[in-house]
Amino acid sequence: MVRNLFLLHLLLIILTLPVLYLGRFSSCLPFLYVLVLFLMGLLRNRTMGIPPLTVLAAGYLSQLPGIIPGFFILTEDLWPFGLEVFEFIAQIWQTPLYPLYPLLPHAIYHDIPLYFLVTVTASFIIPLIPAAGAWLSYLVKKMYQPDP
Amino acid sequence: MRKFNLVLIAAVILFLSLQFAQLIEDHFYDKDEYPPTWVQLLSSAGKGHFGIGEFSSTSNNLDLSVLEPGDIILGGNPGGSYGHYTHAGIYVGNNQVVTMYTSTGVRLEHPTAYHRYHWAAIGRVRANPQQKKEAVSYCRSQVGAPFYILSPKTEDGLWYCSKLIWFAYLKQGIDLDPFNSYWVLPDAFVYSPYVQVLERSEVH
Repeated sequence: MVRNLFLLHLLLIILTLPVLYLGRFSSCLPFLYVLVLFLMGLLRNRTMGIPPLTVLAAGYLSQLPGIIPGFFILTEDLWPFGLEVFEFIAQIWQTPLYPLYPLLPHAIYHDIPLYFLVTVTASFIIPLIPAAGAWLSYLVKKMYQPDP
Repeated sequence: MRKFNLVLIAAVILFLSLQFAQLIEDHFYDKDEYPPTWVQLLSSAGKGHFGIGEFSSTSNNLDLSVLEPGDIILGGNPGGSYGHYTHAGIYVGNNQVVTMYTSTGVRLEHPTAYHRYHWAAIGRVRANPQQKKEAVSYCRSQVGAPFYILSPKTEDGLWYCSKLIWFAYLKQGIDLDPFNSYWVLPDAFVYSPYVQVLERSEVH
């Protein structure tokens, strides 16, 4: 499942670039991504019985290329070197979210613009989406399970 | 073993492509032509150059007193991966330049920030005062907007430094990009017939 989630994210990075030519319509793609992630988690639990926590762990492993630079950027005061490379990697990795950024308010928190805060933290949040799908499937299964 | 062979073949192809890109880049410079961006990026990667290069520890002493609103200010360093100048900003008056970085988005900074580049220049756009005023106003209106290096030219909500300046003047009917490629590089402004380079300075 880690591989599938990882490849799906890579596919979205590649797809986003031509989709950005569609202007504001490009913002549909991130929502589609969220939907696919949710359904993926849901179906994995329903058909293969993969527990929600395993789906969550798979999600975090697949997001490591965003989590590692995100961690370094969030703890930048601890490091004696520049973090430009990590900023660049985080930016490229979160490409699937960029169509949404023009819709965000131009707000700044603690000297960090909102869009960059999203870029840095997104990899910590994205794994929750397939896990939520798996959890929903788990709850539904439990609800309709016949009493012993 | 088969996987290892595939990785090895891919590595060899990549290495040869990077070397070949350097040859193509040299060919363009020999003909006194500006190489395409993809050639520059591959060639720079082959030399181990990524990003905007190493900043200088001493000032380049660029004369900032000539700046007028609407002027373009450029900076570059050795080891930059996409041309001579790797950063651009537009002077908007009151000692403020609209510029941007990955982690800051579009923001205002002091023009002296360009003193830390190894080389810098000021370009004046051949435009009437009204066109300059509108371009400046558009750039100011984008302060706080997101930075995204891969955004296509047609997208008007995601920016990189030279794209915002190019777009602001394009809205006034002035196309500052003579190369017409996927990216508008800062170097495009130096080659543009609509830009007169007023000042150049370099750290010695």
